[in-house]
Amino acid sequence: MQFLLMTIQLSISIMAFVFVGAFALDKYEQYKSAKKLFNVDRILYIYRNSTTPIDTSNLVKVFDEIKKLEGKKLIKSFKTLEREYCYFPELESVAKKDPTGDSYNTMILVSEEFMNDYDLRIKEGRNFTKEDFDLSNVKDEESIIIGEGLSKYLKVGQVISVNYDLPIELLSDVTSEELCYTRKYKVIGIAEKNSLMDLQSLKELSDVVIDDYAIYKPFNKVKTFYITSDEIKIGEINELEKAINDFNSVIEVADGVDIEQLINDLNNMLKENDLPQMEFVKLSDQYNRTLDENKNMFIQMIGITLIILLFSASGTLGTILFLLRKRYKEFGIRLSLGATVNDIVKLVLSEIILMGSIAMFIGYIGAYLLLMENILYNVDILLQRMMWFSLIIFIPLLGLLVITSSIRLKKINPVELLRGES
Amino acid sequence: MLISLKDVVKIYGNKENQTKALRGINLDIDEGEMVAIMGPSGSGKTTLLNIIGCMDKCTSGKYILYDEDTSSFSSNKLAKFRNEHIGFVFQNFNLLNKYNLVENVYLPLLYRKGMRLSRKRLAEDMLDKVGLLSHKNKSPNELSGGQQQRVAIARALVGNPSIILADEPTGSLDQSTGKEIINLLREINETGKTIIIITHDEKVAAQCKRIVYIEDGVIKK
Repeated sequence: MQFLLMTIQLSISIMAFVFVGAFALDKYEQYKSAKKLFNVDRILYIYRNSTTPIDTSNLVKVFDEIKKLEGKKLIKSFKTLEREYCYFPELESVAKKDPTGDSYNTMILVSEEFMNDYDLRIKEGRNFTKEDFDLSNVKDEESIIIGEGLSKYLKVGQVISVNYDLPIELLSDVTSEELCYTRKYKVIGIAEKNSLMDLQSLKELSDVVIDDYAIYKPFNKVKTFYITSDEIKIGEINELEKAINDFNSVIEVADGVDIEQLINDLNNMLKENDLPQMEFVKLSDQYNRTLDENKNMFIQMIGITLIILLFSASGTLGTILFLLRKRYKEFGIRLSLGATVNDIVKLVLSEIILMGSIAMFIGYIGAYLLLMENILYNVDILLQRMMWFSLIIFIPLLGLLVITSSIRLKKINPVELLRGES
Repeated sequence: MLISLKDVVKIYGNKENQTKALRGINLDIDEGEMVAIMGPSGSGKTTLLNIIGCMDKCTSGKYILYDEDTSSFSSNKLAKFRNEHIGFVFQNFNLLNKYNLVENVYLPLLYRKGMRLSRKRLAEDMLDKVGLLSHKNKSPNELSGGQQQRVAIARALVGNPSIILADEPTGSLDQSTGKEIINLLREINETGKTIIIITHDEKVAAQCKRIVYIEDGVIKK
């Protein structure tokens, strides 16, 4: 009974420690990965305020003009990223469900400039090359890189396709003859485990998570339904231009350039070219706050973790010592029957190890189940790290416990133990 | 001589607050004897029993067991001696309620090498000898006082020691049960084992072949 209660106490302590600790690490990992993607202090983006819509018709032209500044070494690069949902029957078993119950797989569309700075580790196959980012014409097969989790379902070189049919309800109003097309995707590489990042957008870096079930694809020129005033037909669209028009690009300012001065120059340039005025905003203005929030949350979580650790360590130590004291008479009996003090220490140690192992197992399973309910950077990595932390912390604690108990037991006369005295 | 105590002194406490429990005990006990040690409370009987049982060491003097001076023994060697040569029977039985009778009886064999396979069988044999085999899976607290003391005797005998030390073995029992226990100890003595009993009870002492009186840490006669 005492063993059971102790195991439950320790399990709850470990579960709380791992759960809160994993959250703290999660914030740290997000902070680290966001910092790694690019220097947020040197990123500009075009602010879109939903209450005061701006003219987006010439946004690509705006970016074309801005791109010219690259040659003048004022701009380091553009980075564009867009998150899409797609559905492949081959991946049904690992598809996520949206609130309406539809299955989807996550596809991240990336620009060449984004991939240049993203240290994506490839396990099998190859990374994207310049040809994969070519936007001059529609490709028969678009290259994709899949997460390690999808390698069970897709192999390098395998081609998967999606058929697009115009919804029946629209067909009655249109006069087009063949309104269906197929897009083919070829797996060119498989990313290493824990290597693919999933992020909502380049402006939402606080939501970065690792997703081994994501798919990466370059922006391409692709077929799509094209709606004109009186008909629907199949046309072509440049995904990168579309993403730019959807404000999914950011501008990385070259090192040493005064950002405030550059913003002024950009506005003047737009005026001179008779382009709509845009509000350029430093990502750091909005983002450092989020990063700092993450950082502060990490510090707070670490604080809570340490408090939990302190309570659980002292509670566990206290309870074990109390229970040991209650068992002095038993130890006395064992000593009178021929046990040595080392035998008693071994007995206590084996019980503590058994209890610790059971508690560790229960605590981890509990923490894992709780963490699965939350979208975190990478639950597997966080749990692995927390397990090492727990071992680093709990093994010395166990050692301390055994040493304390042995010293106490060795000092005590078996005759006194038999009387149940300390 | 199986047991020989020469000028054994036992002092408890520190320099400022000393208690002399034994003040120069000289006692020899032969193999196969059944000895009662009597004396008033605080006379040093239990201290003497603890020294004879290798549970405690004397402050000065010599305690020779099987021709070996135990005062030079390490605590591990004392434990080995206890395990192989001495069986204890206590007034309050000292059984562990979290284990069943078989597990209680084979406890001494846990600390002896090479007994892993046979310990359960030996424990059951001993329980059979004390008439409690049918209760083997019960916990000690499901038994009467007399039955518990029988289990304690089975435990004391399971390792086949040559000496049985009984500290007030009838102290917690009614008269008739006490008598049964003493008879059981006498039967054990008849098999050649040395029995040393600490008792207040003159009727119990009268069942022994020799009575040693102790008072203020000194043997009177």
